[in-house]
Amino acid sequence: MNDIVEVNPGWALLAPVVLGLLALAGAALNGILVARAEGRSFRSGAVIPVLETARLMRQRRRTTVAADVLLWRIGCAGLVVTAVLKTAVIPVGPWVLADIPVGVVWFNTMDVFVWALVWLIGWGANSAHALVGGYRFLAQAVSYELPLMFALVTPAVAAHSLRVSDVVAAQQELWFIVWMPIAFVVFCLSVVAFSNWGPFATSASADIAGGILTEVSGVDRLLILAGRYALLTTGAAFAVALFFGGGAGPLLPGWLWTLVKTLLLLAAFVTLRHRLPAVRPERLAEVAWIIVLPAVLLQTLVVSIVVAVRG
Amino acid sequence: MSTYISIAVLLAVALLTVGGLYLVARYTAVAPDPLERLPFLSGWEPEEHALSRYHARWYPLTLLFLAFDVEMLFMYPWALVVAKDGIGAVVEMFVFLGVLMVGVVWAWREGALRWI
Amino acid sequence: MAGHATRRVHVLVLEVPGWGETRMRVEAELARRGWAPAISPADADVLLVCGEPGQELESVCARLWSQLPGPRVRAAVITASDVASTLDRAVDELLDEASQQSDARTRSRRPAEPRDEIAHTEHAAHGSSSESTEPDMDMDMDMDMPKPGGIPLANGGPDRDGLEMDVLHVPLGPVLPHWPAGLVVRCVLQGDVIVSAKAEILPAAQPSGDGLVPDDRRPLADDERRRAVIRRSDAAASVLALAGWSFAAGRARRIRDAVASGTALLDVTADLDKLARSVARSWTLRWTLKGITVGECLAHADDGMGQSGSETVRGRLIGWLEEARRTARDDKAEGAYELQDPLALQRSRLGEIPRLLNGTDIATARLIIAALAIETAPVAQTPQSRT
Repeated sequence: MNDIVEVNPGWALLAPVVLGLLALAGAALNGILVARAEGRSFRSGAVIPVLETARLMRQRRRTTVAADVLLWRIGCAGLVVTAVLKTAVIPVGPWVLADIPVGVVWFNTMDVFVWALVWLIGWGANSAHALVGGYRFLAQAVSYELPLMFALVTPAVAAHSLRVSDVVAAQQELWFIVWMPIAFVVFCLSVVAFSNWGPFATSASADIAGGILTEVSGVDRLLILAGRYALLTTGAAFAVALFFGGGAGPLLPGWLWTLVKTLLLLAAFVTLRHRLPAVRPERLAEVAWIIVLPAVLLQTLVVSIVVAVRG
Repeated sequence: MSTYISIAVLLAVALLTVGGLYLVARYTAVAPDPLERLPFLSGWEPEEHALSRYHARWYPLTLLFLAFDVEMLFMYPWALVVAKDGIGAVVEMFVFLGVLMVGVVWAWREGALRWI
Repeated sequence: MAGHATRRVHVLVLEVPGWGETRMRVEAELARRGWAPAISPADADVLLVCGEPGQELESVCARLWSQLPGPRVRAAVITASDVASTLDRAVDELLDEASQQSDARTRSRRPAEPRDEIAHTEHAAHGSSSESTEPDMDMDMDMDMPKPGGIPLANGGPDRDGLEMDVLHVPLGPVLPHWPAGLVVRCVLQGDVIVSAKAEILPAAQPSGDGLVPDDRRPLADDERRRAVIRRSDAAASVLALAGWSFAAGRARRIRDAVASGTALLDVTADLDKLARSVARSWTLRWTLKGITVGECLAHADDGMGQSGSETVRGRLIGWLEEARRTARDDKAEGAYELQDPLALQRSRLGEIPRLLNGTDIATARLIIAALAIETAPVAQTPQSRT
């Protein structure tokens, strides 16, 4: 039974709003965690994203001497745009905007855009710290991307299809998380990595004065920060479709289940941020290529053998 | 058809939102035009432009990545035919991946995964 | 909107050597108010100078001030007790829409400095404020080199693999997050790897400070024990923050602030125990800090931080936390913190920096410097300390 249907393009107006609200919830949770850690109230933390937005909208924008302004601004604005484009293939309950036959590849394409965008933010500023940040991201990307791709392809193998609705439908008997735990974990860590978040936020870390963020202020900075949360949110939502049976669940309607699962996963991603030390790219490389990559390959092998035997 | 209209609408909404934010910021910011300044160097002035031939010491890793990434090109179509072609397809693909992995291990032993 | 926009102010702190206590009070006050420390001028609303900067620090301060995007406020604080009122005044100024807009209107849109001078001093040894070479000679040299924006392009230099790669001159400090006050390490970078480095300390205007520098060799009275705990937890917070572990860093900072605000030492021992345990247990921290050392000769130097005798960054971090625990718990602790001549010690630390940083990347270099926990105040007090 394939009960996911494409909806009218008019709903595409709503999708970015939903994405924005979920991302805001993620940012609020982050604010709460920060506030609690500093001994302040729950409420003072929850409003932090709103206060920061107001602050950055009031702040003047900045550029640097002989900056590559066009490329720089493409990078700043691009993260949000990429995240919004990802929502096209993410089913919410029984609905999806664009059920293209290569939905999984579409998601992959969008997260490869992030490589270019983050690097452009670092490059465009003509600032040493930003440049180091941009290249740090690339060094990290060559390590997380391959495990991510194999983690993406594993559910597709099990579903015999790259169409996201087929992947969701294939989980009616058993959610993929149950027999693809390695792929799931690798996918989640990769989402955190391409969102430039938590232990993988070395390209924007304090040791290089904010790296890619060093020179940006005002609305440019707002777009980068919002883009990070939006990427994290779409990553969580896609994990729900790939591994958690999409909108499947008792009692509640499908769309609500998708939102609930997405929020839970997003909360886990946000929480991860403060709990772990940074994973510097040169430390990541060895582990990613020698331990994680073979592990996720093994996962793909097991799944494909099962699929091949079943026919 | 509506599939691609949806994607186009999404793109348009995203671009309009970004453009709208920039427009709003012109009025809400203390000054509409950006401020041009020297890059931050802990309070010093730059001796040269930062844009330069950056020494990425992990370049052997990028070649390794490229080899594997091209392989992914086959992986996506392969994912669709595993069920149909059965165990033969699995063996072929994983022998190929195994060869690539041997290459990775060799590169690792050569020190391509460490660069500091 | 201005009301909401000024409820989470980002403050860029310039700490003058000797004003550590004030800086810590600022950090505590920011956390209390729900404000945030800024990580670069572009991120800052307020530039806050802690202490009385010397001439060079003053010029650094002026440059940073020009880089704040605005709305912006500049403030200075000399004693820890003035921190709260200074921050209150700063937020009032930030809220003043009219003066902020006129500031934005009147400041020049482009950098004001005549940047030709930079190009000239490029040939002079950096760090010295010597007059540049004769202008016309320079003109000849720069004739065929494009200089967009008055800044020359990067030149190549040999790297360790025998390739020619562009080098960038990047000074680290005096203003960076989690950085010792007044320290400047002038680095030559290829990519993010340090090819060579030179360290110096920019002094305060006068050798006073707010008096956190350990200067006693007597058995530890309560006050000294407090200082010992504060200094160690502050140093641990820096290392943890640079290792990217913000929660652990936050906990170290809270312990520090609790002790500084007069909480009984016995009441923080539980927190210290918990922190020390989770730091020692974390295998991710062990993995990320693996193999990063501060060199043998410094590891055993008696620096009043407790002799962990370890040369790894992680070992020193754990050593500080252990030492802080012991000091906090045992009110009969002996004066185990006999300092060798602090001046000689700091000088040897500065002298070691070039060798330690050579060949490391910036992230590692930052961890090493944080693990050295250089006390910059006593060095800055003497004129001959410049290396």
